[in-house]
Amino acid sequence: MDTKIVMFLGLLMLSFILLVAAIVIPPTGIFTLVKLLLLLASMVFDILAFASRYYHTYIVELVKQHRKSIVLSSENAYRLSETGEAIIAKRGETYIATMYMTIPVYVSGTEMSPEERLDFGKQVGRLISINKEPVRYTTQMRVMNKDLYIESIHDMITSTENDVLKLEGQPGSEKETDKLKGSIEMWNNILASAGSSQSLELVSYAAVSGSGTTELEATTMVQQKARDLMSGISSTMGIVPLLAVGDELIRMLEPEYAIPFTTVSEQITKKIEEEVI
Amino acid sequence: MFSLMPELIVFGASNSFGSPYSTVAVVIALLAAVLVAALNWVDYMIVPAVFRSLGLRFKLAKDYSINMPQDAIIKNVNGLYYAVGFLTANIFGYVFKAEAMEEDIDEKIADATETWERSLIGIDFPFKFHVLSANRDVQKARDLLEGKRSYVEFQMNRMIQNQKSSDSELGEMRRKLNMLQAQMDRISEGEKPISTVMYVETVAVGVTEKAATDGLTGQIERLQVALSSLDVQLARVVGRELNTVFEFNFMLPDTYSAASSYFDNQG
Repeated sequence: MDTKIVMFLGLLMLSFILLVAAIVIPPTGIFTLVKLLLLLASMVFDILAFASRYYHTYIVELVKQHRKSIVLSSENAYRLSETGEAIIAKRGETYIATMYMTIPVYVSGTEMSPEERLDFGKQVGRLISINKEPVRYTTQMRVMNKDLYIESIHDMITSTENDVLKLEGQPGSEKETDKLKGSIEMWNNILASAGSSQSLELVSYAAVSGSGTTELEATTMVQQKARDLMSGISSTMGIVPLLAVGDELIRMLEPEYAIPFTTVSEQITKKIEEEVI
Repeated sequence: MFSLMPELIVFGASNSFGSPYSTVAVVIALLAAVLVAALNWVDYMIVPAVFRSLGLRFKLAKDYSINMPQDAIIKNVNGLYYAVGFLTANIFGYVFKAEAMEEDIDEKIADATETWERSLIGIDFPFKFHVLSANRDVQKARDLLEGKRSYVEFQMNRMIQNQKSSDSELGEMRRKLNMLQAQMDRISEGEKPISTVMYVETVAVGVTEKAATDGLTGQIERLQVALSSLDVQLARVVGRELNTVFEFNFMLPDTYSAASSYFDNQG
């Protein structure tokens, strides 16, 4: 039997026993006080029984651990499957595998005609209703990690500077040198604007879960569901969804990937500036 | 209902507590009944307040914990605190809108893309808009609506026969009937009945937990303003539901029956 039901019935039974005791004890002298205390305890257990409907885990751990900081679980919230395609979580004896797939939509309503907007709206409506089993569609706005982009600009500047050095002193190269110097100026400007503000990106993706008594069973189940969902998305939207793996998958899950570490100081400075203003 | 049985027994057997104490017993039982009823409706307000007053803090998983006011999930990474918060984004249960098929539905669908994009213009922090959806069985959905319609018709007939009901009560019943009929008409016209849970997630960062949660509260307030044009009810998720929606990132309900309780919560 489910532990939640066992707990509810146990607490309710205890409440009834205490209540019966409170009723049968004769109301004389000190026993009256005992009767009221038993009644009070009975009501407390009754309330706990009702609260156990949603809070049984909290109540059990609270009683077990007797401290202010209660550990409901000290294990990782999930782990990557061996293939890196799915994440695995375990609840009791059940394994739950979840797969994420990106929906690469690069269109904007402001650039569409009213008819195109209507068609697109209907496509999205159909997308949400293609699945018989629960699927979660997400649109995520996240801070771009511009490290690689900034690095590539630095490389570009260095390489152009080298070209300028090579050309300098060569007869008839003034025009080319001026062009390259202009290019360096442009990259420096881009670098300054890229570093001074954060950039955001919008991505859409879908997630689906499958469960099983073993990891393999859960993974196989979710792979089947993901295949069906991807083909549904593909036929509805006319695009090819891609399975999120490795880093891309983690970026959809972990909060620190929504705000990359390298952009944090920039954000904190901005926050302080806003507060000061 | 089972949980109110001890209280009912006390009301019936209050005489066994003796003359002046029977009133005390009834008051105790009454308070317990009120608390049980309150837990049934607003447990998300009562339980976090109890946990907060006891100074309890819960660790959900490695690296993740719920803050004391139970309105944010906290993750500490390399000395930085990331606070994750959620907002429900339920579609308003407009009775007046739902009772008739909307004639300008195509216009609304066409405008939705632009409304969404306009909402995003002022947002300069990370967030996620989630839609958890599942198809309902067409026949079951139709049977359910027919059952509801029959019950409302029965109630209306009884009201008319008794001649005690006011015009406003009868009008309310008619609206309910029209609403159910409109839903049945939509299904008859080929629309698929679906169930959805919609919610918004956002994350803020800070050098202390307080800085992160303060930032999060600011972001949630801005999201409530920015997304208000979407005709959704944006309420901050607190208490046990915070844990539920947080877990959705790692595991979703995999069958309609497992998810149905969440759909029901959306009303």
